[in-house]
Amino acid sequence: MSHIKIVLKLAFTFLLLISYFLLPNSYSPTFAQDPDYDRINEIAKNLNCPTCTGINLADCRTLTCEQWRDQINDLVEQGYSDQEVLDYFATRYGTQVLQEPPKDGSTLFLWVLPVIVLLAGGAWLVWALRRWARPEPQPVSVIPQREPVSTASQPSSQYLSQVEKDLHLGD
Amino acid sequence: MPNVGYIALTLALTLAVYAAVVAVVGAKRRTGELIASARNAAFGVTGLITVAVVIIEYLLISGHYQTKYVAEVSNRAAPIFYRVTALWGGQDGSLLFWSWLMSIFAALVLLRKWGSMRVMMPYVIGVTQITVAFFVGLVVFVANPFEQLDFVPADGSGLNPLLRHFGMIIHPPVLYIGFVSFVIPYAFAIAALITRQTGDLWLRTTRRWTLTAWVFLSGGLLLGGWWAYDVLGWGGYWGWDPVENASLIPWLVATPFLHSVMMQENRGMLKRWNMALIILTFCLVIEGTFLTRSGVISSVHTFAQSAIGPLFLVFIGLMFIASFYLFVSRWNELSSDNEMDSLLSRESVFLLNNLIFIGLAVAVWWGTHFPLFSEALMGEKIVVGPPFFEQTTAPLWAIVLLLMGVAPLIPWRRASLKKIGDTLLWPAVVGLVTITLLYTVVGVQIFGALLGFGLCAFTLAATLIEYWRGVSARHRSKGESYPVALWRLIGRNRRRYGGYLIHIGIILVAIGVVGSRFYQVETQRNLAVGETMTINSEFIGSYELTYRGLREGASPDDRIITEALLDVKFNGQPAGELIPTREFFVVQEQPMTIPDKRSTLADDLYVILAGWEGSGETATFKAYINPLVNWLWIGGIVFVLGTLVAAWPASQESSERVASRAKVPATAAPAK
Amino acid sequence: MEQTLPHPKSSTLGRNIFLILGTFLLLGLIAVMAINLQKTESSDLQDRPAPDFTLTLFDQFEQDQIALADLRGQVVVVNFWASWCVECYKEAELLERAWQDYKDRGVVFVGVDYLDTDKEGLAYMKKYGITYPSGPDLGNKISEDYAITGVPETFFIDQQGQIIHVQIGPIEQAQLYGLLDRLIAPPPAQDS
Repeated sequence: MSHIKIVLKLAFTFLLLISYFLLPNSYSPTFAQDPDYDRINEIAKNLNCPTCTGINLADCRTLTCEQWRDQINDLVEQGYSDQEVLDYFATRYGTQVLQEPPKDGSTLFLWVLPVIVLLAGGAWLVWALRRWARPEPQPVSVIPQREPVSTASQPSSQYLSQVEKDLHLGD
Repeated sequence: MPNVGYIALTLALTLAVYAAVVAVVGAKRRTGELIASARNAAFGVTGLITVAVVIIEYLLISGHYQTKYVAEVSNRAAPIFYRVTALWGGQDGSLLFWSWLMSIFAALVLLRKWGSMRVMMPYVIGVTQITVAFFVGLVVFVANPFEQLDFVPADGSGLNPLLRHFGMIIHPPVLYIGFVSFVIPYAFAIAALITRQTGDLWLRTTRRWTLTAWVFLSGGLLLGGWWAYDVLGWGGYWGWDPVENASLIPWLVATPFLHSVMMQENRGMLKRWNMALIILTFCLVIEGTFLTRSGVISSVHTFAQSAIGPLFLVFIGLMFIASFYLFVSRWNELSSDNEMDSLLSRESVFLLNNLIFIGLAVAVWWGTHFPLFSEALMGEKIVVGPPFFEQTTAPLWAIVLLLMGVAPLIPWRRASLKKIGDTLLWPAVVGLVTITLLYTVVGVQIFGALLGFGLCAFTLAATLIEYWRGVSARHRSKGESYPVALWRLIGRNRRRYGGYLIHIGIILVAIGVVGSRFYQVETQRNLAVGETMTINSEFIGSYELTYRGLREGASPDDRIITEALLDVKFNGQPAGELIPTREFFVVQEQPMTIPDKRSTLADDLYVILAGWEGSGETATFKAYINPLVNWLWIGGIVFVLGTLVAAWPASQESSERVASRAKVPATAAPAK
Repeated sequence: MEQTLPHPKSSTLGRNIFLILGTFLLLGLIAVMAINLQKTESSDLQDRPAPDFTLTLFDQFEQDQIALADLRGQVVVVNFWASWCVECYKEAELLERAWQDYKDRGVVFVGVDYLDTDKEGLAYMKKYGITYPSGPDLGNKISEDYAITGVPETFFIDQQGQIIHVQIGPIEQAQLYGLLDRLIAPPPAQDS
C-alpha cells in the first residue's frame, strides 16, 4: 500500500477514535445526584423492553431502554410508588409493556388452561390406574402370556427382548 | 459458480421426490429394483446438497458479495472462521444447512444392515426424503442463498455482532443436529405404523439414534444458555423467549420418550404412548422451526419474515394430520402386551413420568403460543413473560426431580410399600438432613430453594446408592476391588449406568439453576475513577469493585472496543481484576455489552459496563452474584459423558463371551 | 392367537375420544396459525381509508388534541417517529422544511411519537426545530391501528381520507416534494 494511503488510513482511524471518545456514544442522562439504580431496576424488571422480545427493561441496554429507565427515575423522584410507576407505563404505552399481564378476562384464559390440563391429566391417571390394577396378585412368570400381533416374520419380540436383556445383547 | 450450486439443489429436490415416490411404489409392488433405485437416489440427494454447501462456503470464504446471502452475513473484515460459520448465520443458509444435515442422516441410516427390517426401509426412505424435499424446496423456491444482486457491492453488511461468539458458532449446528436427527426415529415409527410392525423392532433399531438426537438437543439448549450468559450481558441464561421455548418443547417430549421405550421393551406396554411421543417430538421440531422462521411470533432470535410461513404451515398441516390419522388407524394394534399389576410399580411411575413431562410441554407450549391465540381470537397480541412459565412449570420440575430418584429403585410389576420404604429410606434421610442443614446452619429460607436442593440431594443419593449396590455386589461375588468393580459394572451395563450418569448430570444442572435462580443478587452504581462499590450475597460473601479507568482495547477493523478496569476484592482480600467491555460495531452501528466474570464453583461475580461519561471520568456498572451457576455447565459435561457411556456399542469380545453363556437356560431373573 | 383385551369397549371409546379431540385441536391450531400469518402490516394499508385517530399533542401546542376526521379536505402527512430512532434523524429537518413550504397550501403534517418519553421527545423536536403538531401515542393505539413495523414510517393521506402512499423508512426530498405536489394539484379537467 502506498505511503499516502497508510497516512490517510491512520488519520481516519485517529479521528474516529478521538470523536468516539469525545462525543457521547452512550446515553448519559444528566442527574442532579446519582439515581437509585437498584430501585429503578427493581421496577424495570416488571416491564418489557419496548423494542425487543424476551428481555425485560432492567436488562436491556439499548438507548430506548436507557431513556425509559430515566423516566422511571423521574417518576420515582416525584414520589411515585412502584405500582404507580407500572400503572403509568401501562396507561402510557399499553398493557403489553408489563411482564405479567393483568389477570383480567382475556389473560385469565392463559392461566386457567394449564390448570385444566393438569386436573384432566390427573383424573385420567387415576382412572387408568384403577382400571389396570388387578385385585389379586398374579404369579410372576418369565414366559410371556401371548404372541404379539404383528404379521411380519418376527419371533415373539417380548421373549426375545427378555432373553436379550438377560444376556446384555441389547447394550 | 453460484448457478451450479442452484442447479445442484434443484436436482437434489427432483431426486428426493423421485426417491420418496419410487420407494413407496416399490414397496407396494414388492419390486426390489425400485427400492434399490430409491436408495441410490437418496445417496445422490446427499451428494448434490453437499455440492451446494461446498459452493456456498466457497462463495462465503472468497467474499463473493454479488451473492445476496454472502453480502448479508459477511464482510471484508470478517475473519475466515466467521465466514465459514456464516453458513448458518441467516435464514437461507441455515435452511440449506438444515437440509444438508437431514440428507446426511437419511443416507446414514440406509447404510446399516437392514436384515429383518427390510419391510420398513422403503417407508423410511419415503418419510425422510419427503421431509428433505420440503426443506430443499423451500431453499430452491423461497430462500435461495445463491440469489445474485444486480450489482457487486463493495462490501457485505457483515454478520450480526451478537452472533460473533464461539457459543453462537457451535450452538446452531449442535441444536440443528439434535432437531434434524429426530427425523430418523420418526420415520421408523411411521414405517412401523404403515407396515404394522408395531412391536419392539422399530424401537430397538432407533434407540441409539434417539439417544444421540437427545444429547445433541440437550447440549444445544445448554450451549444457547451459555452463549446468552457469556455474551448478552443480562446476567441470566434463559429468558423464556419464544424461540428458546420452541427448542425446549421437543426436548420435553423426547425425554419421556427415551424413558417410556424401556417400558415397551421390558413389558410390551405403553406402545401408544411411545408412538405418540415420537410423532409429537418430530412434529414439534418442525412446528418449532416454523415458529422461528415465519416471523409469526417476533423474538430477538427470529429471522426476517418472508413467504416461508404459509408454505411451512401447509407442510405442518399435512404432516400432523397424516401422522395423526395413521396413528389412530393402528390404535388397536398398539395395545399392550401386558397388564399393569400394581399401582405401586415402575410401570405406574413411568406413566406418571410421561404425564408430568406432557404437562410441562403443554405449559410451555401454551405460554409460547398464547399470543397467537389472543391475536386470532381477540385481535390483541398479549405478551407472556417469564413469570407465567416459572410459576406453571416449577412444581412439575420438582416432581420430575423426585421421580428421577424414585423410579430406578422401584421394581417392575409389583412393589411392596415396605420394600420401597427400605430402599428409599437412606436417600430420603439424606434429603431431609440436607434441607435441615440448609435451613438451620446455612440459613436458606426460601421454600423453593429448600425443596429444590432437598430433592437434588435425595435423587443424588438414590442414584449413587444404585452404583453402590452394583459395585458392592460385584465386589462380594467376584472379589473385584471397588474401582475394578465400578469399571466392569458400567461396562457390562452401559445403558443403565450411563443413564444414571446422565441423571447425575441433570441433578448438577438443577443445583445450578436453583442456586442462581433464587439467590442471584444484583446492583448498579455510578463510579468515579477510584471509587468503590460493594455487592454482597449472604451465602457467598462480599465483593468490592474499584474503578480504575477506561481504556481502548485492541480493536480489529470492524469495531471499537472500550474496556473498563475494575480491581476486585473478595471478603477484603485482593482477588484480581475484571475488565467488562463495550464493543461498538462500526458498520452496523450496534454496541454490545460484554461482561467479565470471576468464576468459581461457588459462584460467578459478573459485571458489565453499562455506560460512561466523557472519556470515563465516571462510569456505570451493573454487577451480579450468581451462586452455583457454573454447575449448569459442569452438569452439561457430565450428561454428555453419560450419554457416551449409555450409547457406546458393546464390544465384540463381550458379546461373544456372553453368547456362550446363552446355552444355559435363563432362570427366573428377579425383576429389574 | 391374541388374548382378548380385558376392556375392548373402553379401548374403542378411548380411541374415539382421542380422534375427535385431536382433530379439533389440530384444525384449531392450523386456523390460528393461518390467521396470524395474515396479520396486517402498515404497507397493507395502501389505498385504504386511513384509520381515524385522536392524537394528544405536546404542551407547547395551543390545541390539546388533533383528530384526523377534523382534517378531512386537507392533505395529511402522518409521520411516526421516536427520539431513539437513528433513521428518523435523517428526515427530521426535511419534514419540518416541507411543513413550512406546504402548510399554506392545504397540507398538514402530524407527528406521532412512538414508544418514547416526553422528555426525550420534546428534546428531539427542539433539536430539529419541529413545529408541526406532534404528540405521544398514548396507549400505543395509533401505532397499532396503523400496524407500523418500526420507525420511521410516514403515511400520505389525500383530501378524501385515503392512504395513497406508505413510506417505510426515511424519505428523500425529491420523493417527498413530488408526492405533495401530486396530492395538492387540482384534479384533471373533466371530459364532458
